[in-house]
Amino acid sequence: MDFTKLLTFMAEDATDYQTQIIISYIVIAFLVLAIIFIVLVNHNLILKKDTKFRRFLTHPLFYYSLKRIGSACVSIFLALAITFCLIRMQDLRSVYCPANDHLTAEQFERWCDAKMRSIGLSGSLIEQFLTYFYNILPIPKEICTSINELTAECAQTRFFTMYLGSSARDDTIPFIAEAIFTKLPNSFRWGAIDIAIQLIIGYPLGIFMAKYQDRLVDKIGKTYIILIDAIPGLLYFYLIFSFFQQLLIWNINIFPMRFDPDDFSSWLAPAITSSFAGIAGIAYWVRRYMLNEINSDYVKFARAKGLSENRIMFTHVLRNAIVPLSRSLSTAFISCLFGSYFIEALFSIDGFGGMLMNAVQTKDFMIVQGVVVFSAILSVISYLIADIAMAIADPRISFEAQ
Amino acid sequence: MVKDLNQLPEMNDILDFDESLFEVVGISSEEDDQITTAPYSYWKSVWKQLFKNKVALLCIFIVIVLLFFTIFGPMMGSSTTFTTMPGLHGRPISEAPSSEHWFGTSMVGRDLWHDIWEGAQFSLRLALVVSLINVFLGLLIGGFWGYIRALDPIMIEISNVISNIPTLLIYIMILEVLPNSAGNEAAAFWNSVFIMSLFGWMGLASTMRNQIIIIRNREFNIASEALGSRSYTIILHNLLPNLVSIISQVVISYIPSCISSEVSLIYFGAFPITQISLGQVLNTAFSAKNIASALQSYPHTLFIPAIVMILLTVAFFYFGMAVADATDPKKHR
Repeated sequence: MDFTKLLTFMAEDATDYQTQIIISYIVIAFLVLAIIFIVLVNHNLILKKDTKFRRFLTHPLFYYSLKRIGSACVSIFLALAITFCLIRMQDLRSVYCPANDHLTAEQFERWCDAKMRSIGLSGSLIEQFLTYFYNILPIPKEICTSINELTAECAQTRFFTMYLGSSARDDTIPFIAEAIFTKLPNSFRWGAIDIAIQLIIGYPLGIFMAKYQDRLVDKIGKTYIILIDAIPGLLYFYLIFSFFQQLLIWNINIFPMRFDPDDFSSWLAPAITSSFAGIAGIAYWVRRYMLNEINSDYVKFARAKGLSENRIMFTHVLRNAIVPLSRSLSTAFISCLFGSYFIEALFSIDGFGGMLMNAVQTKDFMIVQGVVVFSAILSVISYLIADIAMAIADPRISFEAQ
Repeated sequence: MVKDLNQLPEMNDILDFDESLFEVVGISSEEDDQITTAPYSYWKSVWKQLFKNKVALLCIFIVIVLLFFTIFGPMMGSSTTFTTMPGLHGRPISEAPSSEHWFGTSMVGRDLWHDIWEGAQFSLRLALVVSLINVFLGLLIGGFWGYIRALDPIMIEISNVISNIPTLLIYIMILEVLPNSAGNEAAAFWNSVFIMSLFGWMGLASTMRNQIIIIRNREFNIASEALGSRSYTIILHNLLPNLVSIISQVVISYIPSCISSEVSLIYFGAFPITQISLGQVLNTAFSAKNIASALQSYPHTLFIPAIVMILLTVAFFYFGMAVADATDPKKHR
């Protein structure tokens, strides 16, 4: 699947754009009406007769998901507003308009104005914010970047187009969203292995720690968790990285250190480095959850019935330990996302996290803003999925209507 | 057995006991209500529990030794002269630990002993100030959050929003915005204090809120309220002993976590390069252009700062856990 096409969809022609707009209006109107309807039903204002439809709409899980999505939208909006304001609080003109001796003061002003306008930093703050927010909304819209005072270049886009602005430093990046999506696959390659390692090692570790509580496995595991929690993340990234380097110096080539998008073995080194923190987190939660379950009444009852320890562990307790799995998947994803800023700089991977580091160093605030907004959306969505998945997986949450 | 049974006195015999063997003391209503147990003192039990934990004692020892060196280390004898390559116009070079430079010198020729302890001084000062601010804010906000029920829905939304936003990125953005700290160490210090305490109180506040709500609804507290305890009794005797454990753990673990975020912030250029801190020393030692040559020729520039950092953070962290264990009244018997 070509990710780049997904976010920077341009409309083919004017009629295509018109139909897209009509569809989007219909979809938005439908969504708004549906939400109002559901809220009214849940507050017992309409549709008071007890039908199957009503029972579905007033289902606690359904309403909970809806509320959770609402608060996720608020989070994204706030993250957006915060980053936007923070960037505009500094003197951007002095950053992007270096002093030029060849121009008179008036020419310099004109040149600087034009430059700011092409980056999208002209106009009042509220105007800028509304434009930026409108450009991010995934609806068909017209995106204009001005070339000079009179002419602007406009493009009509289709559904699901996020326009995150264009780079302030690099003319080869007209669409930040597109740039992010070309770099994401690289981050994804080692990130997927990272998450797999976290789950494959973290889960059994947590289960064994709970099963042999206060025995050797548990003590080793606890020490490991304490070490990972206490030591700064960056330090153990450095230490593992230097361990790999030391192996190279000793001429032991387990995996290549230079990242290559086409070579699977080269994805392993960053994945292993990054997975240490995630393993500790998953093992900690699984152990804690399993211990809670082991001491609960139904396990004591199963033991009293004379079931074997293994049967209790794998059929009764593990069923409940699935609940944190739904959470740990998303936390694994998040830890991978935020580890990536350091990991990708260390292993010089041309990915999503490396992009942020570059942008911070070159003071390319438009890219910083784009990356922040994009990571905020990713993390909010993954927390959202985690919460809803946990509500579904948790057997204690009743699926019957209230 | 049968023999014994036969020797049992008749029922009548119970009534004609020897009265001179007994003494009548009357009715004492006070003693009726009291249950006598071994005397219990909260803080005595805390100390007993803490001294039983050998690893925690070791951690306290490590913390004290490191604190001693952070305070007095920079005054000690290791030479502060730069080491340079002979010839080559004084190009800096790293030297192995010797009697002159106790920890050797770094890749830029600076004395590591001085760098590490001065850096630790700065890092610990920063961590301490940030922790104090975070603890103060966390306790205050968490207390109000737990007590005032009307505040709860709003605060829950706020904490959801904050935990959803990637805070490290927000920190970087704020760093760019704050008044330029290049060359100004005091400004850099207060900038990072501001950044780290912006959202740092949230963890403590939400734990406080959860614990207060849980404890308020426990039977012993409801019974105490029903018997007419004053609010200061409820706070001092019912809530506080149960909260001390959690608060103390959070407070002590703030210090390693502050050092952690300092290391990350320095990676993103929070401080001018002239400001020595533990994070700065680490980041220079492990920087991409140094690491390969350091591993081959000067491994001490990597491992001495790393070991000091690990000892400091792990000792503080484990000590915090031990204190949390010891101050938990449920574990005292």
